[in-house]
Amino acid sequence: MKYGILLLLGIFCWISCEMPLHDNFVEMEKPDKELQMGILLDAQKQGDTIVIYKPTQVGYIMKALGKKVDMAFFRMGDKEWSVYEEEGSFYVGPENFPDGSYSLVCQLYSKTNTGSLADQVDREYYMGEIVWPVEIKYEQAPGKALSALVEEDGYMHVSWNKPYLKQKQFLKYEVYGNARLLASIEDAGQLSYVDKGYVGGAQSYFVRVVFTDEGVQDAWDLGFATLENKVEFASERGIERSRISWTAPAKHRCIATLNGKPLLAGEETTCVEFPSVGFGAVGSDQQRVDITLVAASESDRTEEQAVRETFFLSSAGSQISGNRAEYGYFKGQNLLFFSDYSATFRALNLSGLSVYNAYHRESYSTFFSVAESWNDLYTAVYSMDGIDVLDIRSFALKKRITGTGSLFDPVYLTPDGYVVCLQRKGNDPLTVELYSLAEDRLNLSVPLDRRWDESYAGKKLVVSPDGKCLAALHKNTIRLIHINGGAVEADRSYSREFETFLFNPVRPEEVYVAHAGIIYVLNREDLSRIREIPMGGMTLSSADPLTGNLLVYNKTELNVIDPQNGSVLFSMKNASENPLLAGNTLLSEWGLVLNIESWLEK
Amino acid sequence: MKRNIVLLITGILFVCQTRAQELTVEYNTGYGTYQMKDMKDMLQGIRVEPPLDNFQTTDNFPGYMLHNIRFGYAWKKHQAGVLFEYLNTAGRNHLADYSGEFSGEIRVKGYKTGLFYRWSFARLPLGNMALEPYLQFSTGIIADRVKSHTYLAIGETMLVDHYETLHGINMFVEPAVGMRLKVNRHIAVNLSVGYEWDPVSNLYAKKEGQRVKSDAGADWSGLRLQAGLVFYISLKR
Repeated sequence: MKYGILLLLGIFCWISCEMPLHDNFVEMEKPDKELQMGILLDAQKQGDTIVIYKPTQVGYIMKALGKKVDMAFFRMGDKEWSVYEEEGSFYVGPENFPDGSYSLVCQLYSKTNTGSLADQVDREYYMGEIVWPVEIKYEQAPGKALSALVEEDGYMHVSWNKPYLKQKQFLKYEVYGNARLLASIEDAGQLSYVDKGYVGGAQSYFVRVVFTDEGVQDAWDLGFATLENKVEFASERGIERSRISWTAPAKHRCIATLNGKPLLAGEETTCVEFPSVGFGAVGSDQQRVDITLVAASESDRTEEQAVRETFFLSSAGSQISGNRAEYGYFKGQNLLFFSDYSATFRALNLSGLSVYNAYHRESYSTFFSVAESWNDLYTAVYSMDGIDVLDIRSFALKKRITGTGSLFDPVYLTPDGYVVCLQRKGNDPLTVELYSLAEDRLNLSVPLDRRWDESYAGKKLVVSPDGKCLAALHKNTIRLIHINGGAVEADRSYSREFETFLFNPVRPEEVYVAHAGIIYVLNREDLSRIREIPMGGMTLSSADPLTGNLLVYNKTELNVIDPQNGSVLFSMKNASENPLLAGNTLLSEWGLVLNIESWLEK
Repeated sequence: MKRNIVLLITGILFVCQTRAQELTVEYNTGYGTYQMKDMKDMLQGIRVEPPLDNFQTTDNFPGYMLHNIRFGYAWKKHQAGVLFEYLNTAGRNHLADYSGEFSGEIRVKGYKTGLFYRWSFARLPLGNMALEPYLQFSTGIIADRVKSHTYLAIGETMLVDHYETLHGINMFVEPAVGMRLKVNRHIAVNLSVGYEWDPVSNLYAKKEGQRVKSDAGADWSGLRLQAGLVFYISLKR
């Protein structure tokens, strides 16, 4: 009895240790196991198989018996998507489903609406699954891009994908190049065309397939390909020979002419070489080279596919002016000043052929020349209106000299700071005038006699590099005016036949007088003979202020010769009327400059 | 501290030597009601959005049985000693049907430790027995343990299954009135009714190793009805 009481007490304690919890179990009917559901697809079928042969928007309508279809889950190939409307569509096209066999799986979900816990948390659905086999073979080749490539055989191959015509009747492929029918292919299995006429120029290809559909002829585009011009030309102008080269992607033949005469015609050639034109050639003197690249085989050539290029080549050198140019050379920093009969005057660094400064005059008329300068500080440019003296580096205007008379070519800047020029006032004879830049006044005026009024092909005034001797030149008369401290020290006239008179730029005590194919090196003081330099019937043009080398030329050739021994240092063909030499650079009257230093060193 | 203990033991020995005294061992069981306002709020927060149809709070921290053991010392009209008590209640939100079950449960347990004092203000003979009405005052601390478990199961799939445990300490005071029916020298039947008030109740959660104070507390305040047996062990024969 005692043990029974203890046992009951123990059970009571154990049960009462933790409060029991109550359940809220709701009795409700389970939903039917199945619900009849279906989906109606708007697609072409063959039996159970959905057949797609063109990009299609597949419509669908989902139905469930007495209930709403809340969601459908589609899967086809590697693509899955969900829809939440009972009616809609999805797209099947080459972009998302390429040709092939697929299974379209559609899982339909419809809520039971029982109100059960699972229903309330969207975990209780009727589910139905429908699967269709799908065959996709698009009637047209996917995309519209043709393959147009030059293959290893050197020819252009145009290829396309085979169109799927289903029940349409194939007639032919048509291949067009630049809108011209290149080929008509009646073999449905031939899916490429070799265009042997293609060289590499701009080209567009277009292919279409022609067929009959229920007796009616129609055509589909199979693609387009547009090719940019891939032929590149390059020209090089050398002292002796020039060259034009090119690259073309396809096999071709070159037909080239030089000034209208056949130059070369051949395959496997990528350049033509020919003798260069003379220095300074301009306009009609330039060489005309016509290059035509055509198909290698004559039978494949078409006029439209030929690639043509015409070159007008001048001689070697750099064109620094588009007009007739006048030059002044500054030895100290190897600078070439030039004007091209415009209102702008430029300085060119001959070492790098770069224009480093420019001076533009707006209020005055066009510059017509540059002062020949032996001065370290200034350069000058002049026109009919006067002379602008400029700082040699900054081109800041230092002095503007305007006289009362007319200014004649040329003008000089002497190393000791004088501007020397020829002026005429009214009907007075020409006068040589020295204008002191330091004192800002006209320092000296030396009248010339009336003979200098007559026309004369050469320069009527030349100034020595040291600025101490002025040579007034006219026909057979050389008048040497020696200046010292701004005053005339001696004034002598010599009667002597000459074509060219030059002061030796590196030896001020010497002058060069050219006559009848010979350069006479004379003493400046009295024009006594020092030595002679034969120049082979050429004309003396100039002496390089930098080196003293002499430039002689005729209509077809120019030579740079050593003033000491007359040896020819450099020679090339000439087309310039009046070439000049300054700073080891040949200058043409039409703005072509050619540095010949490297050839002189050889 | 050591000095206080020595004084207490000396006092008890002195009383034992000088008066007629008894040791008491007492077991009571009973029924308690519990305030648990914060726990009820917490339970209301355990639900599914949007609200489920047929969803109910099946248990909302109702009063429940408690167990109490006291060891005391009785002399004349007085009795004092230590007490140990176990309390528990629970709340639950629940919905179940053929398709699944949602349950949000919070179980709260309290382990009370304290001191008590009784004063018998009368002795009424009933034949061989005697009825002793008394006043009682208890105080001490309650160690709380709160466990919550929320789950949503659909079929065999458990969509939600979340556990959380909180711990805390309360202070309590409990005045009561009762009576003992002394059957013989060794056994008495005890009845009492009182009210417990918890002026302090705190709960803490452990999150990422840190002790984080909860806004809620387990408030055991409420009515106490108890009945039990008292065993007397006489210290003087």
